Amino acid sequence: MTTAPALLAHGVGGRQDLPITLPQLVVAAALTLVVTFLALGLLWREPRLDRDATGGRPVPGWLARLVDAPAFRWVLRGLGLLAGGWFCLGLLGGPDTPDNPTAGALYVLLWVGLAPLSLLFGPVWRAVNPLRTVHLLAALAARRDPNRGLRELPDSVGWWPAAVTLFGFLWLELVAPQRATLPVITAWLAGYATVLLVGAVLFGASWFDRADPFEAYSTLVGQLAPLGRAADGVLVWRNPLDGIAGLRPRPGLVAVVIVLLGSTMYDSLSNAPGWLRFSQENGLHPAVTGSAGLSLVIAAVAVAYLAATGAAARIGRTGAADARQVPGEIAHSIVPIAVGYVVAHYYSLLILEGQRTVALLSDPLGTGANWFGTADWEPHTELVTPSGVATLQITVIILGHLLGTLLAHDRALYLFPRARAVAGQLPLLALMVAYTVAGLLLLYAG
Amino acid sequence: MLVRTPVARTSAALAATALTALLLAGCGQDDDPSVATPSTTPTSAAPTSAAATTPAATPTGTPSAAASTPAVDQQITVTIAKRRVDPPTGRVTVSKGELVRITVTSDVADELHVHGYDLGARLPAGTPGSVEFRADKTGLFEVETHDSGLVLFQLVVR
Repeated sequence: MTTAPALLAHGVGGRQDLPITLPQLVVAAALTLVVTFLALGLLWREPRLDRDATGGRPVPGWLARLVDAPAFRWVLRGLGLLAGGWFCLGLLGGPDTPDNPTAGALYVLLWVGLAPLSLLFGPVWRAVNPLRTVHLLAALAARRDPNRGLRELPDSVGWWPAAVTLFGFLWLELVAPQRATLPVITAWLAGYATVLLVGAVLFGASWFDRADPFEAYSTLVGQLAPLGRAADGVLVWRNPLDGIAGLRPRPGLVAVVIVLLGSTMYDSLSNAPGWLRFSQENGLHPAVTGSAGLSLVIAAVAVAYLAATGAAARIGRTGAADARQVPGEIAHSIVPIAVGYVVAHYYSLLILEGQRTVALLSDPLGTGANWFGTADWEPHTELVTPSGVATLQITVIILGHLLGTLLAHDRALYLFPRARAVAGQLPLLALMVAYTVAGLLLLYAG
Repeated sequence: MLVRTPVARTSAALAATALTALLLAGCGQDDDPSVATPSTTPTSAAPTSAAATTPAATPTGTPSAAASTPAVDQQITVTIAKRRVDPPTGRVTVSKGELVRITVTSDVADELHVHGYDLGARLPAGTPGSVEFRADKTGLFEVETHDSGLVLFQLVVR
């Protein structure tokens, strides 16, 4: 680490949020317990959510026709290609300095920005994914059906490829040495594009559904959008809780969800002074310690999840076949918790670095250009005040936890015999409280 | 589309230019470059200054922000020997608006950097270097060395 890129050794963003204070922590934890108790026992005694995604109110005809119009789809694909091309301009042609927009565009605009966009509109990355479009265009040029590959992928593969690629991206974002520099980002993206495009040729376009980390992330978060599709494909307005309840179990779903939640917890942990000391003093390369830390935190989250869902299945007296379904049936309840952490961690980064990145995008080649007229933007900082950020962090974490508890509760009422349902979900409640307390403590420490 | 590798841009001249630019721009990507006020001029302390002869003010515990010189509100002193940070990496909390001086002595030549404020100072081997600035941005900022890649402490400005 002796040349210029060493100065970019960490991820983006120089300022980090203040740790929450002890009084804030105590209030949040108390609130969590009260709200959970009320939600669990008193308010919700029947399964109410739309597990099969049959409900929702159809959107007006003109909107459905617009969204489903081939022309609209091609406009979206075109925009995705343009944005991807612009990104590659800075990636391949720009100077490797902090004023190159590439790192901000990848880590802030794409990864962090995808969450609010998906929360509003559903799985948006599917519609604009430039790699998907490249594959589609190539298939059309070769007069082949893009959905048919050279061979069939068995259904048991499910979302496992996405769990692997998602881990790969989060490792890049949180652990990789010099991860804000162009050679590292270029190498990662080259691997990503190769895996996706070769896979698409082999297995058809559905490979993107199964293996693209951004599509998987956007699809998960997009289940919470007020706009969705019913089981028959009709575009509907729906209760976001019904939307997320319609997330059906599939192989690899639990892994994707756990990787997402575990990585947000590692993000907090890696900022705690105790971890910094350990990481600097144990004599190993920071990337080794970081990789082990990320893997261990994800493993701990996974063990807690499997233990709690296993106990719930035993106490709820589901049959052996059903018991294997329980982890997948409950997985949707982790999504709002993970989204809560993502918002808590990245809100100020999105506001501050997002504005800065948009300014930098006017000059991807570092030539002093001002192609969008945004180069002189001074980031507005009014939206990021210390108390405001702390309040927001606590609110979204509690809210995520509350929604997670409701979802698990509702599903337990569906899965378990009535007499056993309350006892059966005690392990799930313990899991939710454990995740929340761990998350708040990490925010307090980090 | 994304698979092309960039042409090598590692010529010495370019690296040197980039290094100079980065020393000015600082480490990582700051989020509010506009806030650097005239009072935040980094200074390389002369080897004969008072701070130079005084090793770490606090031998144990987290680095303490002790008001020493009347000129600054908070004086933070750190020494690095054989990649060991003394006092060990922790948090130092200061109030917004306080004048902060960070003095670092490293046993190898290095570069000090205060994240977010994007201030730097050269650290010749065994000779203290310091930065002095007004903590006018709230948040948590890492103070670190570049070449050895050590986080010295986290500056918490409330």
